[in-house]
Formats: sequence, C-alpha cells, structure tokens
Amino acid sequence: MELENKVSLVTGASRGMGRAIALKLSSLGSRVAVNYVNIEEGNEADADEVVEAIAGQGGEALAVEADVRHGAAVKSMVERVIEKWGRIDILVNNAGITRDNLLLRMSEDAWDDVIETNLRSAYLCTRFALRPMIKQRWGRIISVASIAGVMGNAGQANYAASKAGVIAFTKSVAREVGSRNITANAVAPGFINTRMTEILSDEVKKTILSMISLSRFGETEDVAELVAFLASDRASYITGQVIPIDGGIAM
Amino acid sequence: MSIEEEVKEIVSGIVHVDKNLMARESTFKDLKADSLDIVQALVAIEDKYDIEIPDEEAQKFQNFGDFISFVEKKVQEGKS
Repeated sequence: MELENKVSLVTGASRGMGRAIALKLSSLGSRVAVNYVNIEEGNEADADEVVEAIAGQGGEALAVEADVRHGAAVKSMVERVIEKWGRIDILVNNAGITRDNLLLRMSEDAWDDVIETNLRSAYLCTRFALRPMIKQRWGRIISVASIAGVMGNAGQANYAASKAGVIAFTKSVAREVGSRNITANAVAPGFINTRMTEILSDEVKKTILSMISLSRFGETEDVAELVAFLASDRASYITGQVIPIDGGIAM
Repeated sequence: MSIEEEVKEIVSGIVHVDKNLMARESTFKDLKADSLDIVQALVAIEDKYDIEIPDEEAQKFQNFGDFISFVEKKVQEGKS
C-alpha cells in the first residue's frame, strides 16, 4: 500500500475534514494519530469512534488529546506518537475554528481565538513534528488553509487572516526544510459539507452556491483525496504550493 | 565520557562526519554543516543536558571549541 509503514498525525481529527483525512490515510496503510481536544463535550467519544472506524477497516490508530494552541501540549502529543510508533512521517495541520463577525463588531477575543487555533497551532505542531522528519530525511507537512485565505471573505477577517498566515507559513517551511526531503503544502478548500458550513443560513448558502462553478458544496472525502495525494510519493516534487479544492470558486 | 566526547558524538551523528576529524579548532563550515544541521545540533545538546543555548550566545561561537566550552560551563552551572 502507498503509505505502508508511515505514521501520520492529523490535528482536529475527531470529526469533519480531519476525520475523513485520518480515515483516508489509514486506508492507504498509514498508522494514524487522531488528535482531538477535550473542550467540547463529545469530542473524546468522536475521536474514539474514528479510532474504531480505522480499526474496522483494518488500520491502526491512536487517539491523542492535546490543545494544539499550547506548546507543552503539542510537545507531549508528538512525544506520545513517537513513543508509540517511533516516527512521524506525515503531519496534517487541520484543526481550525471560525468565529465569524463583521470587523466592526469583531471582538479581540474572537480574533485571538481564531488566530491561535488556526495559525499558532500550525506553527507549534510543525515545529515539534519536524525534528523526527529531519532525522528520517522524509516528511510531509500538509496544512488545511482555505479559499478565504486566498480571496478574503466578508465576516471572516480573523479566519481569512489565519488561513493566509498558514499559506505563507507553509511556503517558508517548504524553503527551510526542502533540503531534507520534506515537502510542505497547503490545501485551500472552498465550501465543504461539515459542521462549520452546516450552521450557515439558507440565504448565505444560496449566495455561496451561485459562486461555485460546480454548483454544490464539496465533501470531506474530496479534501481527504487531495491530502492523501500530497502525502504520497506521487507528490514528491510538489512543495510550497497552495492547492485550491473549491469546485471552481477561485481561478 | 567527557562532555567534549559526548558533544562530538552527538554532532557527528547529525552532520555525518567522523568524530575523529572534529577538532576544537574546527568550524561548522569545516564540517560542511548547514544552518539546519547547526540548529539540530543545538537542540540535541539542549535536550541532552537540559540546558538552554540562547541564539545570541550561539552566534558568538567561532569554532567547535567555543561551543564545547559553553556547554561545559552551562552544565557546570546547572550542577552547582
């Protein structure tokens, strides 16, 4: 199998895109650490369910709790994965939140929260996961950005800024560690059917649909396919790129 | 093993240079170490001895000997 003997760490993998990515990487033979955070009720049960689903399809997974906004937590998460499997080959920076509001009404709290969860987490996870990758002389860092980080989006100044940050971060990392056979890429999903988009009003959804060439929201599996490709040896000469997966919004 | 020997051991593992070729006068450039190798070596030494090597100090190292002396000093301070 394509990712045989590989170890992946997917942040925010208890549901949504992270869940689909974890399942996909596992289906290709990778062992997968399923990160989740114990902030909301149900996250732990969701993560356990992902681990069970992976076991059900014959894979191996481990649920790891860590608040990826905090360095100490990320460090011990990476250590746990190394302890269990001795390596980390693929890091997927997926954990993310939205706290939408028009800028005039956007609180400092909403700004900080989104930047910390979406951008600071990518910095921390990449920083700690890089060390085993550098030693191995093989690694894949794949960050989930967003089309909002490319085009901007009204009501999402915090989210868009955090995702644009992830993109520039990815490019810098790609330049820093390319010589060690480590690639860093970002995917930029458009509107994907997850809990994050479920909460949008019908009116907003209608407006969004009119911008999507394929006239439908994407599925988490679509994003997982792209991430799996970037994680594989088939993508070994692609680095520092941002790949939109948005049904044709930005072009 | 002395600190000097231990440091050589760690650095040779990262830079892939025979540790017998590493002298106190050697520079990282002599060892053909690039910036990532150096950072990796600093981090590995920090972890090994549970010390901190601030960037400002690291930039002052002229050669391998300076590096070893700094580590020896830090380890000594940690003990006292």
